[in-house]
Amino acid sequence: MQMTVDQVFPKVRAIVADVLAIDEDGIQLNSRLIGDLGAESIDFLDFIFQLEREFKIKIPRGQLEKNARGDLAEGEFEQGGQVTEKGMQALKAYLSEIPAEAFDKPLKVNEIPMLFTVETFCKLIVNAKAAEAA
Amino acid sequence: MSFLFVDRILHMEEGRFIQGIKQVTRSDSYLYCTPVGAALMPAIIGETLGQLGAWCAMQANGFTKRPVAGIVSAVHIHADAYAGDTILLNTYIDALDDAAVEYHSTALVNGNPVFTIESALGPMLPMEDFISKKAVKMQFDRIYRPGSYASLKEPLSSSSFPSLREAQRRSNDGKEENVPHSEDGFSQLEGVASFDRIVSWHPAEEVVAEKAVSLSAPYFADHFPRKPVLPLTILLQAKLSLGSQFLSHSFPDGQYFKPAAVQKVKMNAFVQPGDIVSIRLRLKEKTEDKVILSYHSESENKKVCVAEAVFVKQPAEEEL
Repeated sequence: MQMTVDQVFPKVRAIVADVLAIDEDGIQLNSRLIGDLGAESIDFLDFIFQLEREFKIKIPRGQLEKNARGDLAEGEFEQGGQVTEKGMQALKAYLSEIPAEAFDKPLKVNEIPMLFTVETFCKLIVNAKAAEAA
Repeated sequence: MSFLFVDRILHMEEGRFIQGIKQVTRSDSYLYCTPVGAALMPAIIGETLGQLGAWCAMQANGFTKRPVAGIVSAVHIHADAYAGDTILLNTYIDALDDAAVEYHSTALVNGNPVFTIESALGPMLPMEDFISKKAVKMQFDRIYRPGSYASLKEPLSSSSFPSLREAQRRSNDGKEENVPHSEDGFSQLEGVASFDRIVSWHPAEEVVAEKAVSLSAPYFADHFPRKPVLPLTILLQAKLSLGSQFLSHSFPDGQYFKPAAVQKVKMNAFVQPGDIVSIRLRLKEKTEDKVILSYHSESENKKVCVAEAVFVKQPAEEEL
């Protein structure tokens, strides 16, 4: 049976708390990892590292960005470090948990992680587990 | 003074496995005193294993990217490696791509583990930011001399090993001739890998110390020529040194604790010459046999490194 975001959230929350050395109580599904919880770039590597161990899955580095790009070729998704209009649509569709206004302004590629929430990582686990079972 | 520790690469399977050796000699840098004699600082054995993994990762990507210190889930310090020992180093690459390398490692002396890395993850960054591709390739070519460990050295039999160590301990009794000392009792390079001053002190609770980082430190020549950054292992050795002093002053009643593991290590930012790193140590847990210390380091109010160290109680006769 496929796992759900609600099922994986408690473990993901525990990992986020552990990685960032913060209290679990302050972590919600919609907490933005950088903006709300103070995560830095090395913490994202750490999240993936810990999630792989906890859920016994393999998450290739850059998988989130790849998922966000969907079927678009790299050149269609971004040009010169700037996410294209098509890219913004793909991003909005993939990161459906993020409020729509976050996509009003075009983003630079290196700003994409600013959007990621705890739910983004929960979905990553759910999708990886589903892919594994398929 | 070199900060490159792998003496020879014996065997390599591209991007997957690498084996090498490190000779520990009396003229080696980064030694410290033990009752048995001069031993290589534990963090430097960790550095050597990390460098071995880096050689494998860099060779696999054509020396275009290099790993830097990132995350270490746990390392275990099993035993010391003394002058005269050959350390056999094995690093297994668990994952490698453009963004990061993940590996685990073992360091053995005479077949016995002295140091293991459970799992480490290093971000891969552009080589040319740190050292020229040509220079790093030359360093690699200098040490890549495939061969067999068995042909290098006749291993000591495991049954005779403990008695040989005891003989070595007796021969060194009361002598510390292997490690040059300064007047304050530090060996020259224990000082380099230590903190500089304590700024607050609460026995059995917390201590805060500072380490000032100077371009004159010997490790900057190799770490790295184009971008000098404090090696994580030097910072960890300073943390262990602070932990040992904290414990010996907090629990002076015949208890001696020795570092056995370092865990949950994360390097958040580079530390560069001119920076001052504050090291805050807190007693996290204490049982009859074991103490866990947690460390948080900052520079200019920015987190640079977190870690925990596990110290275990030693029998009285092993006290220094």
